[in-house]
Amino acid sequence: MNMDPPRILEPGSLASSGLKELVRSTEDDGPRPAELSGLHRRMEGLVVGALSAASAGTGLGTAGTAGGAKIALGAKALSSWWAGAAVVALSAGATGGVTWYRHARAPTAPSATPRLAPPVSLPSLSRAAVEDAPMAVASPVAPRPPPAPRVRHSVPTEALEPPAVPHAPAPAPAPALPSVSEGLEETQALAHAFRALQAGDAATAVAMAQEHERQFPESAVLEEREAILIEALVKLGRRDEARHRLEALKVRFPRSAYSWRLEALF
Amino acid sequence: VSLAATRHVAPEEVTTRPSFRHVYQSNAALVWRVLRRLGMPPSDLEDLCQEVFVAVHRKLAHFEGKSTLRTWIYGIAVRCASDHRRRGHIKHEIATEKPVEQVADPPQLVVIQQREARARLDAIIAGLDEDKRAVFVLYELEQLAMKDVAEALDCPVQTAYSRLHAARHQVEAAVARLAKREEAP
Repeated sequence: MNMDPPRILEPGSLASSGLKELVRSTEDDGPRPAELSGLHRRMEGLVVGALSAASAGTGLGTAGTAGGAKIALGAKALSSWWAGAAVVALSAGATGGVTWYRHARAPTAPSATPRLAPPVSLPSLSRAAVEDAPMAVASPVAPRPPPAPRVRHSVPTEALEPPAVPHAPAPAPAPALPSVSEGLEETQALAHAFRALQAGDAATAVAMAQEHERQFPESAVLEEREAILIEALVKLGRRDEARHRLEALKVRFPRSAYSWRLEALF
Repeated sequence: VSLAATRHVAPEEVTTRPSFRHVYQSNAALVWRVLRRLGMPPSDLEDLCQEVFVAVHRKLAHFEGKSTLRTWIYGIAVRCASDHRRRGHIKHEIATEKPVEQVADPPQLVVIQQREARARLDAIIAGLDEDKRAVFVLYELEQLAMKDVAEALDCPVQTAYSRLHAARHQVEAAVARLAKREEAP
């Protein structure tokens, strides 16, 4: 019998409305295809290795995928799946702009067979995560190595075997991320500007958005800020200024989801 | 192949060992999402997902099916996040990177409020200690059954319940504090 208490968003939950609202913000927060494309490229070596093993008849255990033709088809499908996001982005643009991608880390030129980077070592922290996982394992437990520099790399199959390969440290400085308070302040400040715009107070919205621009020049909500600012400027009759900003927005965010609607304001 | 994340985790009884390709394909989005929900910085997610799947690859041959495959992967992901945090890569960070995909012409208010709410929740979850955070994320957000949460975290079910209770209490208190601060002039 299931005695689990109701979850926050389930009927019978005693959670506050404030908490429910916060938890709702996690709905549909999975990664977009473009966000996974870099990971797919990195994992190519392992996945291809698994496919090779499968086609040699050594371990494709999933139901319904036995047989060389199906495996080959699966490999092809997966390969095009890796090519992923950029292709989807292009086709989305050609079909009315329903889906847009921006800030993609991955190269935009799709390639059906992405090249692997030269073999590099796996970070020792992977092993730490593995050895501590709560599961019965036949392999001996190795002592946990000291923390290693973090390296971005793809994973060729041969990098896994033999498991112990020399490290190729290439430490990259971690990008500075905003603090919690900074992030909250940033979004809240812009929310105030938007509410002013919604309330018909375009002048206040402009002032607040410009103050936001001064405080957070490279804000995570920069694009939204520009959209608010442009709309407010149009409402104030400052069309030239708004037009100038819109052109700049289109240059910086060529696929901005806002440009269609903002264009219609003029 | 749809990688769409699902909120509800379907029970998955694994009786045969799946291929790594299948495991990766079915769980890449899940691993990304749970690492993100556990407070891992967006800039590290790719690295960490890779770590998880390298771990999965190494151990898959020894997977005994004592738990579901997903529960097992959740366990590895939580451990990976915990190690990452212990190494000092996590300070007080929240995800403010923009999504790479946008639906055309999204209502600005929704976008902004959503980000605002998410930033708040991230901050609150970041304030939980590691054990409570893991239970809260796996039960409330990933919607695992409590017995699976306990399995993934390798703790007794009663301990998982206690941690959930404590986490909820702490989270509600933080929500109330935030609301009070906003009401203040």
